[in-house]
Amino acid sequence: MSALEQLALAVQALWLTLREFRSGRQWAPWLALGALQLAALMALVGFAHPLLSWVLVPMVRAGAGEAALHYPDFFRSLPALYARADQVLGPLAGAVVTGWSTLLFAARWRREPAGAGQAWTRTAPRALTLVLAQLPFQLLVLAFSGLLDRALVGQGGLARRLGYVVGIGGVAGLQAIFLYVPALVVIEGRGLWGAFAGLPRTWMRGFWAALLLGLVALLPLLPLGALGQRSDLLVDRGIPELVGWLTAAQLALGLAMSFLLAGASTLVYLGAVADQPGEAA
Amino acid sequence: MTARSSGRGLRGVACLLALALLGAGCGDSALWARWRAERGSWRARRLVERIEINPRLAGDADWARAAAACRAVVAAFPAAVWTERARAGSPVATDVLASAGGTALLAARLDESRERPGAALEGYERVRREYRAAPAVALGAAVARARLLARLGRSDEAEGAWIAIARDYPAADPRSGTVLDAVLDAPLIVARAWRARGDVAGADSLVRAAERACLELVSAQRGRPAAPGLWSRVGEARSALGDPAGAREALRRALGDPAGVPVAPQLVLALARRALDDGPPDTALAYARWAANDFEGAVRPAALLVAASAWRAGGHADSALAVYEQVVEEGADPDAAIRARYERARLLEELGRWDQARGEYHALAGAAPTHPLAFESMVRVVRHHLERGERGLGMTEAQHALGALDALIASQQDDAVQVRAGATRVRLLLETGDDRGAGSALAALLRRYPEAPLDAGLLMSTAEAAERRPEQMDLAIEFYRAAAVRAVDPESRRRARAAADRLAGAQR
Repeated sequence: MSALEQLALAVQALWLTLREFRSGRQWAPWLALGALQLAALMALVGFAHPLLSWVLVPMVRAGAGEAALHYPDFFRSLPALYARADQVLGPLAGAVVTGWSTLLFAARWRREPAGAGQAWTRTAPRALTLVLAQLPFQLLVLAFSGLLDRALVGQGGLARRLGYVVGIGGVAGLQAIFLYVPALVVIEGRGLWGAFAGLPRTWMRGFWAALLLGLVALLPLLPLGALGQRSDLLVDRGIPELVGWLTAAQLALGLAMSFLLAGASTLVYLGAVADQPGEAA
Repeated sequence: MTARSSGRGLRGVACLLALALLGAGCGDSALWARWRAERGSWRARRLVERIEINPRLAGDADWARAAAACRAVVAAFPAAVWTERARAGSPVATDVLASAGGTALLAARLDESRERPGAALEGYERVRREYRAAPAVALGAAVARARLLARLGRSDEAEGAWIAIARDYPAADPRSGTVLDAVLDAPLIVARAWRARGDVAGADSLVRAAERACLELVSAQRGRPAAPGLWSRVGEARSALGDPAGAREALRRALGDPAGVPVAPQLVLALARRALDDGPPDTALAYARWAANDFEGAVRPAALLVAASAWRAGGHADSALAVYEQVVEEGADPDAAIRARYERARLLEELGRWDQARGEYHALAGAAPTHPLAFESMVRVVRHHLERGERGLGMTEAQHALGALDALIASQQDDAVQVRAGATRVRLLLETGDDRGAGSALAALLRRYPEAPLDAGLLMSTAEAAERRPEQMDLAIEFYRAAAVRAVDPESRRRARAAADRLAGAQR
């Protein structure tokens, strides 16, 4: 499939996934992840309560310093603190949920009857493989962002803007490289090494579609992310709790984009990347 | 089977409860209290600050909500309880106390904004007394109280409050080492008042003590943000002690401190002003030119005004007029432009170029009718004619000014403008010899604004005029009593009180 055909397929896949937004069953995995993320966010916001402080105060202090234990300074650090919490939730729960959702979408696109519970039963035994198979992506994104941040320290406005674009491109590129890993694990039933071995085939057949999907899923998150970086302003001139709501909105949008990415990537995978009947190696 | 499963469920719930209780026991309840206190204080502050943007626009509900928010925090974290915990050595308790005290201070500030000076003074005093264990809060309350007393014209009490501040609080925070500006300023403020009423020896001794305190602190503060301020105070002290060279030397030391760079414009301007007050005009002119040419913003027009004064002091009136004109034309700072116009008018008047001077006075009154110098301009025009025996011209100007003032009083909502306009009205009536009208106007002003910060001299003059009219004897007593409260000088206060007592006795 040519790059142009891949892009056309990706657009079509996005459109069809968007139409699935109203399907409650398809949302089940993401709602579960959302509940988990929201619980983490609420726990962070309520870190000072005696029920939580014994666990969370040392974490907040280590993550953002002594000042973050005070109101409203805590809210200046909330986006960064939540991002750290999400760095744990994403590779663990997020990886499993992506597999679960991929399985549900595969059934939907193949017009097979499959309930959320049934899909979960099939996903659960592969949870560890899903986590380990997607770990390199998470680690590479972390390393890439870290290196970029370090390179941009002390740089002027133009270099920073350029760095921002490179950052978006880099993350979308890494996303494209690993996008079909959950499908390889849960649809093809591959193990950890098998999934990595199957990656070159996904690049040849669906890299450009994956790149477009990655960018489409990433770009809507940027404005909210930029707003989150202005938490100082929100705290000083607004209502500090607004930072919490903004983080929650970011979380909700992130889930919607993950839903879109999972649905569309599964469809592209089934249509262009997976071996078609009679084509199996 | 069912009984067994329900038993298992109950055990699960019990385990969860136990875990929760364990968690609650392990958690830091003081930290939670600090969080709630800081949150409550922050929310109360937002409500109060929103009102303070324009108190006139605040409705009853806004005032009530802000007061309730303050009260809730103060009630939830009683000063006595948290003082005890803070004294036991808990830093978190000290923070709680500071938050609660800060909110109590806000409540008093709210009363002050609502023109309830009595309640505000009581509130400040309560905070000062109850939050001693949070020195920053207690000091804040003491300073706010002293300032309010001064604003109310209760200068004796204000002086006492400043003396207490200088006596009761350290000049630097023992915990953080931060210099407490108010404590260092307090003796200088008191000394200024003492000097004004003739107690030069007492004032000098206070100033010397203040200078010593600043010099003791300044070596430890070198390179820190407080250093330039400390040197500036040393300069002020030396200037007050009649050592202008020492004062300028202190300011130059401030300029030489690494922390002086960000405040260099203000320091150079201060040097120019100091040189103008105590030194040769040429020195003042050099510093003023430096400040005007090298720095921007509000410093340039202020420096140009100093330069004009220096030209004036050196006898170069034309150069001074040209600089005033420059400030007006540049218009970078409206207040400086008004001041320049007024000073230009005064200089023209001194030079005998009355037509031009009158034009400037009128232009000023028309351009900025609510500015204090616009009111002053009105009085000067009238006084100029009356002093030269041009009664007809003086009366015409006075009628014109009174009409403008009446229009201003009818159209302006700002209480400060109302008071200034009312006081100017009284002055004009006194100038034109309408003592009866002046008495009635001042009585009306005092009825409407009982706490108005009126000039004690004006109150005395009006009282003396009223005293001459038997039907205004009650007003004369009222004016003398108002002057006795507002006069800065104790001798004036004593005279006013004696006059009020004498008239009251005669009436009995």
